[in-house]
Amino acid sequence: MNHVITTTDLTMRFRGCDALLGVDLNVEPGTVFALLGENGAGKTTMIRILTGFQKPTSGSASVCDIDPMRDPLGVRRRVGYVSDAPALYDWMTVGEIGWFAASFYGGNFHPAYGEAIRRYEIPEDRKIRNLSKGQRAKVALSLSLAHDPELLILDEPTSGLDPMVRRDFLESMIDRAAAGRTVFLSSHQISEVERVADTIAILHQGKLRLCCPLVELKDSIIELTVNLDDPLIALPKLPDSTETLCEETYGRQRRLVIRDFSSDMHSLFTSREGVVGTSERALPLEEIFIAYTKGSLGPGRPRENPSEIVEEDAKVTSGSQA
Amino acid sequence: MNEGHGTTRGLVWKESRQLMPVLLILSGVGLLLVVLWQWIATFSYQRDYIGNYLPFVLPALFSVGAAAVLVGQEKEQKTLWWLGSLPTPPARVFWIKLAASMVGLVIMWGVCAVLVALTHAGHTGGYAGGMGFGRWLGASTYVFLAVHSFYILVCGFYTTWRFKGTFASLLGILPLSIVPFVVIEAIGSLRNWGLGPSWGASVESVLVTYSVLVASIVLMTWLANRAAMKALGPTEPESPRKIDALSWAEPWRPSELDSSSRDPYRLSIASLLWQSIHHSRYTLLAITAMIMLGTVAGSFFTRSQWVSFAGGQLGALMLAGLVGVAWLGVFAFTGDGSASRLRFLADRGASPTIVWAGRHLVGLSIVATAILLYWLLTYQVLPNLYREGLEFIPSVAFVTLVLWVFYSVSQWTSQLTRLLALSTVLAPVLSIFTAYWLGYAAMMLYMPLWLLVLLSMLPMLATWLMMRRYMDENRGWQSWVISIGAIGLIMCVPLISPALKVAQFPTISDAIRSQRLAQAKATKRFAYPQPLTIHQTLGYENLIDEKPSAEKRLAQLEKRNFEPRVLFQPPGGSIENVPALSIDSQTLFPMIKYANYQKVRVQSAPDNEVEAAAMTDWIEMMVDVVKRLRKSSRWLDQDRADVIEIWLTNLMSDESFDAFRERDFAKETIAMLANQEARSEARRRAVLISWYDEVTKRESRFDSLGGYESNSWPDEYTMPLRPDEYTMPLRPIIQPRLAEAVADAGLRMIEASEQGKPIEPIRRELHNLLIGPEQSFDVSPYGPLVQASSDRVHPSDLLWAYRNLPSIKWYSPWEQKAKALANQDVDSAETKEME
Repeated sequence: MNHVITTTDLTMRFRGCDALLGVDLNVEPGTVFALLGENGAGKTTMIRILTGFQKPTSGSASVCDIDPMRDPLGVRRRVGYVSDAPALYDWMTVGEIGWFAASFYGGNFHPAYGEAIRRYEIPEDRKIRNLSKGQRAKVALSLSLAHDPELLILDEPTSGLDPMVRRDFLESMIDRAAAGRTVFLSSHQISEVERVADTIAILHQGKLRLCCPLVELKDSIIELTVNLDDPLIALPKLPDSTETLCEETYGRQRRLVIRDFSSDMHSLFTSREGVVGTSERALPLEEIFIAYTKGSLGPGRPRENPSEIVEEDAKVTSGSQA
Repeated sequence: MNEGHGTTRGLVWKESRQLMPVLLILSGVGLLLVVLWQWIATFSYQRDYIGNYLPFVLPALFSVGAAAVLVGQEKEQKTLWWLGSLPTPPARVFWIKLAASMVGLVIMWGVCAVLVALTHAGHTGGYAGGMGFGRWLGASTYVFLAVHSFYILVCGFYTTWRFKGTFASLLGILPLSIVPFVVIEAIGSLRNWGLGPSWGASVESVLVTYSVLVASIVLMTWLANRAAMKALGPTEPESPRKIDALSWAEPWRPSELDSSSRDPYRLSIASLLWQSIHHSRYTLLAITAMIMLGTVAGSFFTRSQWVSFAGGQLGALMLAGLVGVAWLGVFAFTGDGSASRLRFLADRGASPTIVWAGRHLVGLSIVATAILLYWLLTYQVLPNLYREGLEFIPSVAFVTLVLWVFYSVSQWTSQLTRLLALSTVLAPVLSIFTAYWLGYAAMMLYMPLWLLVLLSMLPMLATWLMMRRYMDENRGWQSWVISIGAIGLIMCVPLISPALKVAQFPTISDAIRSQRLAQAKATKRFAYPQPLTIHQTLGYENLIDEKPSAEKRLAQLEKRNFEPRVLFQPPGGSIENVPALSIDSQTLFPMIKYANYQKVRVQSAPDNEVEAAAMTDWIEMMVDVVKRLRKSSRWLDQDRADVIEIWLTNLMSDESFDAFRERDFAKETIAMLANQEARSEARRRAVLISWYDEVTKRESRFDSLGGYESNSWPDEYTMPLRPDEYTMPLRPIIQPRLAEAVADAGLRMIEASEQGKPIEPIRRELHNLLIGPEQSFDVSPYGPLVQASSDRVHPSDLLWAYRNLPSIKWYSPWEQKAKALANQDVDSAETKEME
């Protein structure tokens, strides 16, 4: 299968920071691909490279089988792009900017744009400068979608949108993916991403820490809580097939976020002297993201009655397994 | 994909829409400035050469600012990157922007041509006729300026695409703009040519000049295209060598301050000062350099040695310095001083006053440093290097005031327009105009200095008052009220005092005016008076005037006979054939002198019939002249006729002339002299017609009232220091009122004489109008002392004839004397009859 986006050993270095370090990425067509990362992780740099605004220090990229460095116009014809702060001509009216952008695409652009604007209930004769932040975001989205691009690249797309529009927008992303179009978005709204994304990638300090389907990701990562007699007791070493993303101690509890942990590994802990019991919990995407990027889930809630927690977590675990 | 016409059409539409406001604003401002300047120049009665440049400023400003609007503004607002995200080749974006701005420049030249044509129209004579913008420029200079403006335009495109900041790109245009001149000068030096086509250079040098200019345009367009492709294309990564290498400045940087333990500034204004300096250091440095260079040039410009050596270069540097001060003012409210950035401070409750002061501290410090440098160079250093000459050296206070006005107006422009590209273009023009207007108000409208200082502070006050709203990005109607109010005050306050003086100036009621005009319209006009001229006889003048040789020449003169009717003739005819005459003092003065000479001859030989006959010829000629002068519609000729009649009255009253009284010519003369009614009627007709012609502009010279130069009133002999209202530029408003009041006084004097009413109050009125109430009436030509001796014609009386004062001799004692002569004749006739 041809990937819509492919990057190979993509590296972008600036004086004083490394934005991307050997990023290898493949985006399947007909999916909603979410790129997550903290501020300064390199998401926008990645998007700028993919849209042909920035040449990388090394490595290569391909978007819709086009090299954005060699043919940025080709890329821009086939993708729709909305930056995190779209700067539209504020002296134009909503209608005029549609007409203006249509002159670059032709075809069905203008009717499609007009339809989108009417759907968002934005008056066509109003100047961009007189629109609210949310309305501007809607105009920018309408402009990027009007030529029905095979790939939509969005940088913080729902910022400024009200909840209703946000929901509609996210659902339309799912519809686009279902129609065989691809959506590549970067966002901080992880709960929203979780609702629509097929594939998740986490960029941390310029490195791609994770890139896999969301379902697979959520299935593979759990939080294991180990109750101990003595907090100083050393835990057993896990098999190499697993990856411990973070380990924290809260009183006589040890919490670990582990990837590819299987239930038969509980015995490794329970067989150890001083271990009172273990429990596991499925993590939401937000906590997975934090575990990957921060190495800690933060000061968790103190669990004063471990027995109850074990019971509760066990329920969650069993539920998850079910 | 719609790659072709659709994209081009969209881009052309967008660029046109972006340029349209600049074109309209510049045209509007240009028209306003031209109208105001012409108004000022009309009132100042002089050609205002600075005004010549005004229409040409428009294309110049457009060529400087077009790229800033089409590219710089898009960069600032980041719309260029959105445009870049659309599928269109960068080259198309570049060429359409350049083409649109070139079309805009052509339109701007068209507007310039229209303004030049407008200023030429309707001014064919008079002082205002001298006001013709661009008249001094030759056709070759027009072409040169036009071609050079295209070069400036492409320079602007290069710098704007090349540099990140709009300010930096505007600064970059300055050195680039002179590159062709340097090249032409270098080639010219090699070939001994002058610079540019307007210096009367050879065809070859003109070809080289334009070749260099065209080559510069091509080169700069190529550079601009390259810079645009770089800016619109993918950003190149930094080379690994550069990334890993330390900056050359690294070893010189101070060690980082531990911000957690130290708070570098205790006062918020100090932080603001730090921010003002650091937000755009290189731009600030470049502007400062411009100002300091301009200051140094200004100091050297006060030395004639340097002006003759490098006057043009010094002038250009001074202009650059002034533009630098204007841009320093703009700098206050751009970048970190822009409304969107100051919102950061507003959100944190920063005091608008503190922020306002913080934004101005750096700028004002630089201006103050420039003034200090000027004082140091001009008054301390240069006098030690060069000998003092008769040079005009502007005072430090003057320089301070000019720089202050430039800074003050520019920072206001920046806060009002909010678009950097527009304010950098507008600020220098508005600063120049405001500085000129205030200077004009001080020097020509006699506005007090303290008021000038107060008005120059208004723009600063306006930005301070608007600061809170500016920081909140909330420009409501109050902001507009403050702005319009300040503009209104600057424009109108200097006019208040002159307007009051004009309002208080004596005038006549509408009813009287209508009555007089109707009377004037109904008055009979004779043919236009022909000038009586003296036909010089060789050596005659010198015999009279050159005292050292007078006796010697008198001997020669006595051998010659002069026919008065040959000596004094109207052009192409004799006096008898002309219905009306006019006479100027250059003719009247010798006439009296030669007649006096003849009188002396008669007195020295009373029995000589030849001399008596000659005397008769003179008197008959003078009587004919008086009769024709009385038919002249010019007021002046009536007063000149008075001088001749006074001389004749004195002659007829002279005892040595008793023997001639019985002769016919003497009787005719005495009859004429005694005819008071005819004289009054002639005077009335002349005053009415003179005034009517002045009112209806039948007289082509608007400054003439019946031959009197009414624009020279009040009389400059008696009053070299005139009151403000006479010298101020509102003179054209006062002029008709003054003429009207003088004419009315003249007519009332005639009426008073006819009705036997006292005339002295009207004489006093004329004195106040024409000489000034500040002057003593007693020694005035209208005063009692002069009037008492007005029956004599002596050298001082002849001097009065030169004077520009009407009706001095009207109804004075000589007229009584003339009447008495007639009575005396009647008495003697009666006595004879009785005998």
